Amino acid sequence: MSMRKECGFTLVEMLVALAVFLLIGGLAFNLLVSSIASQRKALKDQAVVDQISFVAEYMSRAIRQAEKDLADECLASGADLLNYKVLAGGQTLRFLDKDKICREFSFDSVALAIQERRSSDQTATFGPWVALTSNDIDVGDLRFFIQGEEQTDQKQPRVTFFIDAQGLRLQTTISQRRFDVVE
Amino acid sequence: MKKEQLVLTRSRGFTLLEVTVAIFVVTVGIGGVFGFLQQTIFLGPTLNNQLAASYLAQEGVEIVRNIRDTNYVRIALGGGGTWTDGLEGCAGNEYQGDYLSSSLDCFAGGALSLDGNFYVHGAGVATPFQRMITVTPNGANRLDVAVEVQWQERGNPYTFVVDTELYNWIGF
Repeated sequence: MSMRKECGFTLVEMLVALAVFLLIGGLAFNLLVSSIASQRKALKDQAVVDQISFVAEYMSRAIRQAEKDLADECLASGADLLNYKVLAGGQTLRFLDKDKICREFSFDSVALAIQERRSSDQTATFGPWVALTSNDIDVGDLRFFIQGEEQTDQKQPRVTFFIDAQGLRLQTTISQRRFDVVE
Repeated sequence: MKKEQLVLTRSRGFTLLEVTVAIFVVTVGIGGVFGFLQQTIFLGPTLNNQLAASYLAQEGVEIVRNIRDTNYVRIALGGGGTWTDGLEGCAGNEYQGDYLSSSLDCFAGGALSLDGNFYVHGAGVATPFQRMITVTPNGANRLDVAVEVQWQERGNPYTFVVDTELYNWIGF
């Protein structure tokens, strides 16, 4: 009798052990599930930061080094010669880049991406659009604002752009490096 | 026989010290994992704000540079004035500037808002960012520019500072 009591567990012991096991197991499982979810979100946030950081730097450099469109073949302003031109309701920027290539940055509202296209010379005969952000991030908005863009307004031209991508709202302003004086 | 029984009895179960150590180890393990988890969750938004703040600070520097370069263009074209026009005169050399305006205002301390498209000082959806531009004359031909972007996140203050010097290199 005494021997039988020593081996095996009673029902109560079994229930308590099971309850403790289930509780700890459940907690660990919960932790695992939520850590996988937050890991996924962290990776997505990281992708957004990486890509937007690249695009912002890439656009800033090109815009900063822009040339004056003296021949007026890229910006086709008509009356006043320009340094930059905004199209498509503020969602496209056209300018002559440092290699005298006519170039555009634009928002792709279908693919939710930022894209660019360039000509082979200073005329506005563009090649195909090339995406600057990948499919795994969604860019919600890209806007441009320009000031002092006329070559005769006695103002140094500047370009402001704003990017909204999955909660990251980034804005900066670029002052053209080449002085707005026709030699 | 008696001795063996005693040993058997003693070796069953755990001592209080063993249990304490075991619980401590488990707690440290779970605590560590949980800490990591919390960091991954909270670092995402912090990273976003850091990037946004760095570009807002860059905007401040570019606005000041743009004002100096506009002064240069005006002087070169015979419009007169000095290279520091619009970059002097506020108390403590503290200014604020907008993408919309081609001049600086004296610093008033408000946060930036989103006016529907861009960050501005004025009406719009409030953002956590506050930007102060300091332009300090350093001799006749140098301006020390510092842009400080501040924001709050879950009660913690963050600051991003950009410093640069602008020189009167043309000599106007």
